Amino acid sequence: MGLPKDLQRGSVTDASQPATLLLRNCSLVNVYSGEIYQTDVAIAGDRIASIAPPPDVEAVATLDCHGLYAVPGFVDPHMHVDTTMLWPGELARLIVPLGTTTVFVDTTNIITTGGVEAVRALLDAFRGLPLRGFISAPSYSPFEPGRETVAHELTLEDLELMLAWPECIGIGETVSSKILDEDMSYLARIQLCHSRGKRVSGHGGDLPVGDEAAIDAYAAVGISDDHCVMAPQDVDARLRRGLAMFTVETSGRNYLTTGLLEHIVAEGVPRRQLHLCIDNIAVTEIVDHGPGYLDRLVGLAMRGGIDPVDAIRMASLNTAAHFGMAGSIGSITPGRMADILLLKDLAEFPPELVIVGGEVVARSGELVVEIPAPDFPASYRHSIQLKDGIELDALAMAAPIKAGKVNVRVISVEEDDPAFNSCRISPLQVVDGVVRPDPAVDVLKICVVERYGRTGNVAVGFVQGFGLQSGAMATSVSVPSNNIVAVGTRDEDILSAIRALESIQGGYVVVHEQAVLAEVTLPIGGVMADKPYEQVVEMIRRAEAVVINTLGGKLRHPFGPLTHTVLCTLPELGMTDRGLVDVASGEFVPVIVEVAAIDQPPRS
Amino acid sequence: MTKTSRQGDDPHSAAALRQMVRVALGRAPADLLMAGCQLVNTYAEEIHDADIAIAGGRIVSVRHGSSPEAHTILDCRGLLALPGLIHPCLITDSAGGDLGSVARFLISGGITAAFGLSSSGAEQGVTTTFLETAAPTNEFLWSYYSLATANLTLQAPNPEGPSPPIRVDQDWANSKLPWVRSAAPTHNERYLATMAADLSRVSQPSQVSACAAMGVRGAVGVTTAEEAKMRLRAGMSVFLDHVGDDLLHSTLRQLMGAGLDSYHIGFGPLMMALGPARDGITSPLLDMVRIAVDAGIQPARAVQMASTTAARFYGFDRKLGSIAPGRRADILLLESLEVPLPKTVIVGGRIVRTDRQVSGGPRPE
Repeated sequence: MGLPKDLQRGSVTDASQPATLLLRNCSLVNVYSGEIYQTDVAIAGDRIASIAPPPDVEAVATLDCHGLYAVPGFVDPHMHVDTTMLWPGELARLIVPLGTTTVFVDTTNIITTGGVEAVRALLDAFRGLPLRGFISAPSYSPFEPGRETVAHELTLEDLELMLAWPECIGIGETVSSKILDEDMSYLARIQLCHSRGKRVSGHGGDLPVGDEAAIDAYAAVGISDDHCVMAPQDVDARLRRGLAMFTVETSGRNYLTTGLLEHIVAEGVPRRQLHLCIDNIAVTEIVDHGPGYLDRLVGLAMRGGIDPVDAIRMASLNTAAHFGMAGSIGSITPGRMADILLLKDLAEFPPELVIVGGEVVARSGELVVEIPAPDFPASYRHSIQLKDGIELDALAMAAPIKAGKVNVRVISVEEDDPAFNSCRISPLQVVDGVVRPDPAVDVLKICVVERYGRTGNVAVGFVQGFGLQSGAMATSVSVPSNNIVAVGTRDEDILSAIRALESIQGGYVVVHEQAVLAEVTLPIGGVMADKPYEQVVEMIRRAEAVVINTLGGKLRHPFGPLTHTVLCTLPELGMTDRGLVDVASGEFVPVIVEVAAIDQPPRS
Repeated sequence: MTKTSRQGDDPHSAAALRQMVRVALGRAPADLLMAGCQLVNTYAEEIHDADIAIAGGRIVSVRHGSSPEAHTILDCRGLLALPGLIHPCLITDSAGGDLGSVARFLISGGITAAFGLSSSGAEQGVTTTFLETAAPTNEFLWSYYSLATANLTLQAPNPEGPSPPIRVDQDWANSKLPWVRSAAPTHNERYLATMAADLSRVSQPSQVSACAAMGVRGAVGVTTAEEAKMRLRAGMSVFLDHVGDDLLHSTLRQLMGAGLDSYHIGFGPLMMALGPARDGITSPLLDMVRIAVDAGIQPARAVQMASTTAARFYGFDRKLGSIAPGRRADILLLESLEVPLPKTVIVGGRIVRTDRQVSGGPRPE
């Protein structure tokens, strides 16, 4: 009886078996010992067989790595594939050559758009890719039952099914508000995850600031990490409670460079609970960074004074260990998957070579292996269904008066962090019993339209900050429910935009005088593209330019705010297909606050 | 050995989670409040002021001030609070006696959980895997996790051959340990069955590397810095043995001097006799902590080596090995790390030994 297959391929130092690939004389960054030293690395099949092979070890292929650092492939602890707008294959084509070889994917926006079947499909989409994908199951769908409509309402049975998948590492985006409110059905999901021995990943963004009792409660129920560590004052309380901190650096959430790095270095914060994290990033931003993904954060950490081995650990071993996977990924040590970056300099990206599972998959920033075509279930490619269609009158906002003025709540959008909107009260004209937007002062109409063929809800409100002078734009991306959000100057254009979205089955559309001038097609669940990333970037750039040049939009990147401002968990207003939500109270509030003036009809 | 479960100690209960939230937020009283501790925090690697609130056998809050009310208050002013220590590789046969008396002995030395090997298990091939059992003391729950064992026999290096072959004993291959069976990495791939004392005979880097390739993720019986470095490099957690104070001291000094990362270095004294072993010292792990501090290791890191490191190695860090909310309330009180015998030992939230004043706290109406 021979050895089990795994043992065979691992035991290259058994002289009878040659290595499949030998990296000669590389400078090994050893994240276990904390050293960098010259050695050979022998790979057998998809795993690392030895980091100290005998000098006469035989190898099928040998790479002279003199002058190159061997660094473990980077691991992103928490990200949303859908917010990149790419399907996993294109994400792999873009970020694997930059050195990220494993992503832990949150699936909240996948279940809200396509249910458990879509989550499974997303996981299956990683098959055959040079990018390892693991998922966290959603902890909610919808965020608040009764407040918004989604494609599928999460049940405990769903969670049980997903937690049984070996690629599922736990549940994600576990919010503090439901825990602090003692929401028993939510706690039952947490306990189910514990009982399966998996991680409960957090979203501490809604923890009351400076409230240590809340952080105690959050940690006490077994939340293991938080990706909402924003400022130095957030660090100590989490670290002391053993909460791993996923530190984000993206446009609008540049926490590392606006205080965290400096604090970590100055205070000597232990590095093992620190992870570099992307969370949400659009494909355009990845490309704009050079391109850059986690590699950019590693570089920033090193330049910010973090020891290179620590910085690399924050993007590899720390995360692998956090999810109980240090035995298979996150380091260049024997027995682990051979996911290796070869770098000329520790802070110089892209890597010369990227090896995943023992195979060279990228050279000098280009993927050198084939990506299979996307293969998603037809149902998930047809996620937009407007119940009974939609007509113009659904977009009108009726006023309690025939003519005059009403004061309305307006969502005021900030470009830099679009979820952090504020509530303003503005007077709007009422004509023929209908409230009119006022593009002259940048008060536009915003509509949220249920798109899963379930309720046909349409909510209407007003928004400020986009600056459109004419036309409308609409999207099927709006976390977490991902219903249709449309903003425009007049109802006819808004309606055209909504209908255009239905016909392309999701994405972004820009409409002027009822004609579609630009579109970004995201037909997978209405949130992900099936096209090469270069084309996606081009579509977005073009559509943004049309918004700015033809519609007079004043935001540099109008689509981010369009998708994020309706979020119901961050200040001050949210909006769902059922209406306007006051975030602080979690309650629906009316758009019209009061009647400001009544125009008397002219005497006849 | 009987399997026991206590009210509130069941982590699989949403009601238990809710109770923890309520206590943490001050909406319900804690069972026990350890007031005014100097908490040795093995995550933050610092010692800070904290009150430790305990409910349902688990730690609920660790903030300083504005702590929840409690049925019982333990005055901990001026004392260090350490996480219960964890023995990563207890060889129960060598300790002698039944598990109950072993537990009593270890608890008196602050060891509140152990991962154990039975050398007789090796003869049977595979014993049980991670079977949590309660020591039959009828007084408190003591965590003992029995490890799968297997015979890993490594052929001695051939001094004449240029590349000494590593052979794997068939028993090892047949042991069907979880990591051997896993073909693709999954989160379930915990670091099982890595405690091969035979590994201490492995002297060549290529051999250590080969052991790691075959799935060995931890090494016990390590005494020298050179051995430790070789194993660390191969991605193993290293558990140092204690065969002599001077050797341990110099090994630790060399490891620190070489700038090696201490995060994967822990303590695992292999041979322990019941009762006073040397010079009246009855706490084998605290003794090693004392030596580590003496060798220049930061106190919180030294405690980490005797607690958190083992818990993390076995994938139990959410459950054991630190004083953080959600963990089992296994806590020791010490006057100083120089005095390696705990005056107070709390296991699963119960005070099993103390010389401190315990008082009833304010009770709810």
